[in-house]
Amino acid sequence: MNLNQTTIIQAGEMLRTGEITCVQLATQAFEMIKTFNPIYGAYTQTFESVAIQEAMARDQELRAGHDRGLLHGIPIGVKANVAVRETATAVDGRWIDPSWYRGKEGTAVSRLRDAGAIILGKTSTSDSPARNPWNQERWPGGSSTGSAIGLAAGMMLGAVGIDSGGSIRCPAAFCGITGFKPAFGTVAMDGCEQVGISYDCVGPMARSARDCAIMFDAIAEGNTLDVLTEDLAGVRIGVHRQTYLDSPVAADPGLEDSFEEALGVLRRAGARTVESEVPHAEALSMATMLAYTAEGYALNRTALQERYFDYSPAVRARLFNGILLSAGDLVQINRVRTIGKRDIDWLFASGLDAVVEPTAPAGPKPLSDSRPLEGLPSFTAKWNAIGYSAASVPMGFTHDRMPLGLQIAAPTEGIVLRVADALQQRSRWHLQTPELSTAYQEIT
Amino acid sequence: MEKISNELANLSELVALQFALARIPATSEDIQRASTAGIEMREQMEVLYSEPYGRQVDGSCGESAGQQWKFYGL
Repeated sequence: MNLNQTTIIQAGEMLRTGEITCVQLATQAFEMIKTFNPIYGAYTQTFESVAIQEAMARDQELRAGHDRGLLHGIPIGVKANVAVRETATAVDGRWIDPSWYRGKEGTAVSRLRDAGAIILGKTSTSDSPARNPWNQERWPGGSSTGSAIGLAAGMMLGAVGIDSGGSIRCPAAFCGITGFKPAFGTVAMDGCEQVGISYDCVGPMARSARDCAIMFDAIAEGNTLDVLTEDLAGVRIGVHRQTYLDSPVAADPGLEDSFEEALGVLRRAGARTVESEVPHAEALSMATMLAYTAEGYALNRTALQERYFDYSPAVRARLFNGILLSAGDLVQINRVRTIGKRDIDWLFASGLDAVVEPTAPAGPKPLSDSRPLEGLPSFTAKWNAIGYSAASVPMGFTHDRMPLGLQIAAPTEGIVLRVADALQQRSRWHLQTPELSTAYQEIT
Repeated sequence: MEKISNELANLSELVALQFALARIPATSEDIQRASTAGIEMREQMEVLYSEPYGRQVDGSCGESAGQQWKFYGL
């Protein structure tokens, strides 16, 4: 069994037919972690002995006929800034109060655990050194960096990320996995160290939209798995091209062909596609990236006063930029969001069910590039500004064989996952995996 | 904006004052970094104050019944 070629659904079938046990599944994940984590940097911390004990307990339950459902015995990783009871919450090893949520965890993680998931460890953010499994000289995306790397490299079957402006979708696109941002407010954010309080969403990352639906249904007590109908009859999808046509980063030569191919798959699934420009897209993306700093500053001002040098220079720079906006600026940002949401709501009310566009204009930049995020918020952050749900699913490759992502957005989660699943039922992009190598030096 | 860029030293003083008023012990590198970021942020804010966002637009201030508090997230 190759963990980076296995979905949650497949692993669940194998657990129930007795082909594999929860302990074997967790053990295999830890073998992958021991081999590849020093190279790729997916995890900042692992909980092997606790996880194996929990896997043993899940095996006993299955033997006794107690099946918790589709996440029973499934090994997952949790982003560093989401609390788990095994350890203090830390990003970059430094910036969160060690007493915060110590020994406790929030709704999303506790629901995954109740559903039987085995938590293997904490996954890295953009502030930790990490490499892309598809090309070790390329950026893996961020900030749910380790969650995406770990899935692409077979170190977990599902992961938890947080998305404030694209932090789930960007690494998902760059690592060739599926990332899903729920609509704002659907999932409880307790136990999640927040930055953009009116933007942040905790959500699942996995190898398929169907796996994301399983995890989302657990953390939100939803029923999206029931609406994955495999066909898109009657679904009207808006095709938004302006972001990549206007992008300051040149589109990859393979982007347009891959996008057209994905649109063709959606049409064959029964969807009707219509050219459709999303109004206020650029202004909304700017609004997100600006207000995010103000909200992060407000949440962290006291801590910045008391423990300034506990924050890494990169993290404190993101937060203290909020001091540069005036109160009037923040009111204006909220007005732009209100205007944008009103007009995009109208677009959907007039007949659109979802909008699709590339998740990024090209593949990830080299690790040596000083501006890896350049141009990316224009693609993803507008959907955070208006609180919509959005996913990134694999849709082919760049000219130099790096994954490309298709972004699907809509006001609610069910239709996003339905479109993503219909695409994956008729394509094989999400099943492609990188060739992993230990030929590189350990990352530091 | 170009004029502001040319007066980065003055801007750094303004940023340093903001940090001091907030009692945040920023380093001189941080102040420099924030000053540069501040210019970029001002340029972006200018876009958000331009047409059509810079004037009162129907529906942009939560004028409808029941929407007024919602605009402020309350």
